[in-house]
Amino acid sequence: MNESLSESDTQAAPSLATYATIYVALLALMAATIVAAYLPLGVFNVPVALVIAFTKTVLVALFFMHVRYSGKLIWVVAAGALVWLAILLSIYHDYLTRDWTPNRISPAHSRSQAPPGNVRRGG
Amino acid sequence: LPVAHHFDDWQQQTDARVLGMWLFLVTEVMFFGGLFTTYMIYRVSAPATFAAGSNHLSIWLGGTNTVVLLTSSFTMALAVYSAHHRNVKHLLLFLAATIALGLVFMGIKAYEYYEKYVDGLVPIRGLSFDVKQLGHGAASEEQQTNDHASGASDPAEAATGEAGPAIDEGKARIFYGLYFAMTGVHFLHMVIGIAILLLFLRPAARGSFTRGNFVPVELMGLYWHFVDIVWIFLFPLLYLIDRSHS
Repeated sequence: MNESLSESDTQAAPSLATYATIYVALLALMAATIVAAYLPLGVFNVPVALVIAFTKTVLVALFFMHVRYSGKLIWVVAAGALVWLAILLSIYHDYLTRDWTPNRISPAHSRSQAPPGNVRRGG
Repeated sequence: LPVAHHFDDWQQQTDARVLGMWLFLVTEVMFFGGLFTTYMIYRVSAPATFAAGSNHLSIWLGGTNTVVLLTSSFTMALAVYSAHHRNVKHLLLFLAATIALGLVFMGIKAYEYYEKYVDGLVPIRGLSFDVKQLGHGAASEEQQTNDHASGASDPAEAATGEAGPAIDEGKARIFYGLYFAMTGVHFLHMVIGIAILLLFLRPAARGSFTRGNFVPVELMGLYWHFVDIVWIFLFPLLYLIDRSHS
């Protein structure tokens, strides 16, 4: 019994060198995200920041949270979290279809169309 | 090692406990996901306001806190490692280090909140909200959007060209409302995490976690790393908007 326990004790734990490597990688990625934020990348500033954040998340989950050393069930649950989050975030697309309504959120059109109140006052 | 009567053996019980913690973390992902969705919708509706609000946050304090939290995740991972390897001294050392780093994070965060209070940028009814602190937008909302759409950004033009209209107070309140809500809920998770870590110190010193029952430390690690991941997204999304224009 004790032997099988000590086996499982170490089975789930990566080595100290792995932990240290991941920690350094996380710090490097954090520096990268700050540098990238100051570069004039236009539309790409946000995607670059999100890709770096996602990469950090994967490193933390795989190594610090031991997903890499876990059974399939944990993989499914961790991946499931991403799927549910993606569904939740996709609610945003509903707002992109509202340009013709008073609830439009894209500011590009907000000035070109006079608000209904002003039109009535002018007429 | 005690095995509850509804489990076959210790390994099955351990797997069930770890799985339970992961399922809890999935609900936490959805909890924060709602805030991130709200953030995304409002940011698209007011990109210039979000840029001005973000540029008023201190990148030094936010960046330092990111390093502090990443380091605390590292020490937490080492605490789990020590529990696995049944080393009481190292376990205590790394639990204490994690608590200390968590407190440093909270201290810096509290100072940032205080700064925002002094600047009059706390969107609470009854407090005056000084939107002039944010100055004028580098460009109007629509110019900003067009910039983004074409991918062109000309800092020289932004500097010499007309400054955009003054930042709208309502939109600025929404940015700071989201800032305080998202970092505040994250802060609350830090408070809970540190409280549980403090409760762990005594049993850790007694050796409760280093005789094979490492599971509580392991689960605490999962929670702490999750809170770290939330900050990994909060930092670029709140502190790093449109820094290239400033």
